[in-house]
Amino acid sequence: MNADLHSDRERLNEDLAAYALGALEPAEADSLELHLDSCDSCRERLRWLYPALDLLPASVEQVSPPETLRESLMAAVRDEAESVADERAPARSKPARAQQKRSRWQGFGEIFMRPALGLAVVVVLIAGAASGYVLRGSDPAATPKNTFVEAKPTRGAPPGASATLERHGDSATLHVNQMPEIDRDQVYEVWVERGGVMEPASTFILGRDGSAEAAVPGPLQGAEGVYVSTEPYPGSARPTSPPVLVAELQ
Amino acid sequence: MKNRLTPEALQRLADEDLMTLVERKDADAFAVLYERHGGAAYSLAHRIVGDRSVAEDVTQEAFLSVWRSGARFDSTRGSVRSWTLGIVRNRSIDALRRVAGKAPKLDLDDDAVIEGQPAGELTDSEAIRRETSRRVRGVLKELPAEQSRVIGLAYFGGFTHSEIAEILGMPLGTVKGRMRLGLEKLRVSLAEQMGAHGPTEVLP
Repeated sequence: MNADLHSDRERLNEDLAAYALGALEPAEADSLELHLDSCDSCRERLRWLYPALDLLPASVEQVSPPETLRESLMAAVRDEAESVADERAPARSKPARAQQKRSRWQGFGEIFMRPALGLAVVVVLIAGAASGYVLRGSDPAATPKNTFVEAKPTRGAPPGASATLERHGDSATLHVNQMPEIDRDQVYEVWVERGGVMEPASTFILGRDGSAEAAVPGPLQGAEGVYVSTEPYPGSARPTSPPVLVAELQ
Repeated sequence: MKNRLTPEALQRLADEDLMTLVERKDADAFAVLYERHGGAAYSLAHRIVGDRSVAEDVTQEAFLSVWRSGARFDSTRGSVRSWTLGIVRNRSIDALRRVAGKAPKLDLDDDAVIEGQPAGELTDSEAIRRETSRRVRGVLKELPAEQSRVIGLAYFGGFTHSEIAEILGMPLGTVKGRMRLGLEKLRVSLAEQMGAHGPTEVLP
């Protein structure tokens, strides 16, 4: 009995963390919210977690927004402020009320509204050091040692597709095989995962035999994985379909 | 709305007080909020969407939403900054999905409630933001890589835990356990760093 209680608590704590990160499926988030309505200790726990969550946006590289953004934002705002003053309307606008439902406990309600991503990317996780292997002495003079990491096909990957990431120093070459042909207005895009974000590395098209080599420019230092997905030509800033191949770097 | 505060007086107000004015459609108060948090918001959007013009659109949408729905902000549950950045994060993820063309248009919900953050942020000058982000990255780096990875994929990548399990080829339970451990560890090291001084020390 005690053990059950304990594991219930564990499970709730895991759900709360996933919820705070916006990582629950919509239905799970809904039922957790129901629970939060009536559970003080879970609400307390969530409140305790939030400062940790605040670290995440604070950790990103800080860039300056263009002045035009402030200008167009303030133009829109002053416009609305004037029309509100004209009507002497109440402070609450209707659209705000219409949205008022849901996610009272949660910082990231809206992503729960979306259905499963339906990502179509084949994640090639280039498997990590454990599953990778090191070729020693193949050309010791020229390159220190090139590390080879087998990419794993994801569940959505086309059958037979495979890839190997050949790492040389801080960059790499991705060798892919038996990839399916894609539409003319699409390309395969290679991504480097860094802190959860997929950063574009390069794009490639296939040879007749379904193989290709793609450069993966560095630095790979600190990156977690290398991925391949199908993207609209000429490539995207972020994956628009789930990766088909994943090579883990860690 | 007569008796407006001077720009200097507005600058001295805490975020929560500015929000009260924003609820009354005070554009000058809103301008001060943007000045304080626009940079952090744009940086977050840029990190998530990876494109300057999309990041601009997202930031603008998010701040317009703050302007229009300021009445929904509840200061007992968190700071203006957390609330605003929560909206920015959600809209950024939404923009990613929109680009993907897969997800139907979302019914946006900006009821971003983040609790536990005391009121009264520092001015958001770029130098302070850069220094803070450098220090915060240091804290994040102390997390075991497998924990910071799942946290990053969720928060910045917008993946659900089951998607992450699929991408990484690991059991769902492992993903959830790592998320939880990672967040808790962050929270604890935050508390240790803060001592008795409260989160504003690290988080302006």
